Amino acid sequence: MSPDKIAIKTENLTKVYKTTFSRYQVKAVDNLNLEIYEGEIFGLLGPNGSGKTTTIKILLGLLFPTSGLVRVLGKPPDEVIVKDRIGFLPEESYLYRFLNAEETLDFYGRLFRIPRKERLARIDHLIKLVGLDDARKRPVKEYSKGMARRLGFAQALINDPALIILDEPTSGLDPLVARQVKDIILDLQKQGKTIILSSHLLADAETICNRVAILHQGQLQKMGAVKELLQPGETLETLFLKTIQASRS
Amino acid sequence: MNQLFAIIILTYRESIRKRIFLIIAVFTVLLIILSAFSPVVKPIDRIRLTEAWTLQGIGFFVMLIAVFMAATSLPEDIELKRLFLLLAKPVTKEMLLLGKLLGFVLTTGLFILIMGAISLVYLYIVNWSSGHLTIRDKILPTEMRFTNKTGQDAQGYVTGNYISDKEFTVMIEGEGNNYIGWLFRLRLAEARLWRTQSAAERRRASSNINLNKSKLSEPARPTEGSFGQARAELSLMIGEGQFKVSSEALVRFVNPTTKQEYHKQITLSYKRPEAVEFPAELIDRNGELYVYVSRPEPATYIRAGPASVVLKSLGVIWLQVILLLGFCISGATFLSGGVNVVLNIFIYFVGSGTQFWASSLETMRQAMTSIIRQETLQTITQAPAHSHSPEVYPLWMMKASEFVVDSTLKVFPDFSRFNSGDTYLLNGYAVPWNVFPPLVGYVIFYGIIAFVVGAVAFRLRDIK
Ligand SMILES: Nc1ncnc2c1ncn2[C@@H]1O[C@H](COP(=O)(O)OP(=O)(O)OP(=O)(O)O)[C@@H](O)[C@H]1O
Ligand SMILES: [Mg+2]
Repeated sequence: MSPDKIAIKTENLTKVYKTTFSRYQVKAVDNLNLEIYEGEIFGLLGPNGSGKTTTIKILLGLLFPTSGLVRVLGKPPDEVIVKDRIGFLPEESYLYRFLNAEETLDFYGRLFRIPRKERLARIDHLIKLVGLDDARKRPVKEYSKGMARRLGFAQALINDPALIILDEPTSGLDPLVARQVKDIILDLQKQGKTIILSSHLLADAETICNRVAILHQGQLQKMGAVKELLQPGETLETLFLKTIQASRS
Repeated sequence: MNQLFAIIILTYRESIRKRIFLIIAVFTVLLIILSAFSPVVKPIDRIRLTEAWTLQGIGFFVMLIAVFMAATSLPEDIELKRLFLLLAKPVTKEMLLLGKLLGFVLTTGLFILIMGAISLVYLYIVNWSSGHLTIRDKILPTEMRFTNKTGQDAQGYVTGNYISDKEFTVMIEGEGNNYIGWLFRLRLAEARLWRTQSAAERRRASSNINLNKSKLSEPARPTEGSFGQARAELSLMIGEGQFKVSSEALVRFVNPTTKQEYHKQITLSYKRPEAVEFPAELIDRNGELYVYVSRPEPATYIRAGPASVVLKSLGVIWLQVILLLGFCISGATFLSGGVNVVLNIFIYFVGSGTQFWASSLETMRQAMTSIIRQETLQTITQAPAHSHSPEVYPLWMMKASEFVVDSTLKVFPDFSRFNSGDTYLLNGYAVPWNVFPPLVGYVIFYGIIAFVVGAVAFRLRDIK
């Protein structure tokens, strides 16, 4: 976790959503300059529609930025080699409903070209890690929201990624599992991995994130180490509210 | 390889789970079984019918499967945002497209294979119970000409099948001054000559033939004694085809009552009719005559039971499906599912009707030349302008519509090329291997174009 090793860098990143048949445009990300260091847990915070998911999609090379520059692990994000080292949990479960837990992980494992023996070992390990051992043979369509979320979390780790991007990792999870997930995230950091997460749970973000960025209407409002951003006695929640209100007026 | 394999298998698993797949499979089987209950004259006809229904049914239904599944698969992935997670993995968009394409190629191939196997099992049951061989010729006589003593022609249309290594059944339909129907049956080929006197009788006889082949065995009653002086002439001609072979054939005529025989060696050659004359007394008092046509040299016919012929025809169908799959996958990269389905059905129907388009183009061009000529004439003779008929539109309009039809014909893939399966089969031909190379080339050519278009469109696209 040192500023000299940069995992992700964006320069004047802007994304405008255009709809084909209307002149209505949304500037989802507006001149964003981010720097995320290797080995840190970075929190991407902001109210609904502030551009968190859009930023993540750009980092994954799924969206082309309207303007600006992005470097992920030193490379442009649409290069496929970069993705070998990224694990990603989307904000909702976008899994194949007819596959069961094992098949789901096997499918994504194959996409990472993980050799069979290693793949099977990892699948077994991850299923146990997220507590889906009893449901490993049941199709995803029978899963509860939280179970699907846990499987989503497991698939994000299938390739033992160096960079893990988690879009609202604890949403839909019961307090018990949410706690476990937070522990796993901290554990992953200890293994030297870089973690980016977006979250609306500011208390959680405050405890696990090293640095945070607060977005509003696509613009960066604040970025820095949690310890440095907070005044004595201030929580991340009060800072967040203050920041957003200031930006609105 | 592992990646591609994973996507192929996923696509396959996803598509066979769709209900439409099962429903269509059931329909296809029903259609094949239905052919068991349709009335036919000869057992061999049932085999032909089943083969034809199998091909038509499988061909049509697999096309539905291809369009509805392949055209909606990628849009569905985008809609359900599964693509979002998938493309966050180290998978290129081209790889995804290729995997999907191959996945559907696999799915449709399995569908065709399974349905083909079902119909073959059924065919063999029918075949076995009727004790029929299904040997067919690479080449068949498709035309027989009959001349009576006054020199009037009776044109016939011939279909037939080999029933053994040496003999084939021939059925002739046709009309002329003297209607003559030949019905060769099995080894003991039987031919009847019917002479109809009045126009009404003639009409009845021919409508018997055209409407209901089962009435062939009970035609208009021959007029007794009227054959005494008849001299029939039998012309055999090898059917059109890519086989430039000529072969010796032995035609044997037998009077069924007196057993009096007459034979003649003829050479069947490509597109050249061969006339065989035989003495009229061979026709017995009932107007019957047995004719055997045999080929002494076996090189000109092949054994082609249902298995090889049906499977080859299904192969042709599969090639056609693969071509359409290419368009479906390509369109899916920039169109919504519904629009893509409609577009591909459109492509298929326009592409299947190329002959229709070509002939309309011909008509249009002829009309235009005659109009232009007329107008030139008018300018020369200074005729008044009101002689324009109301159907004549400005020339540029006609040129525009000619251009549209012309470019449609050039741009759309020609799906009618893939009709060879049933063209051969329905006429009792064996499907030759040499239909494949040009079709494979065609599929590859259009497939690459479609794939490149799709890949470029997909690459430029935001995954929202
Ligand atoms: N596919 C899209 N087409 C058009 N506009 C979009 C699209 N996706 C997002 N937007 C717009 O972009 C803006 C940012 O959306 P985004 O999903 O990035 O927000 P978010 O910060 O992730 O919000 P949330 O906390 O609700 O997940 C919003 O105004 C949204 O309406
Ligand atoms: Mg979001």
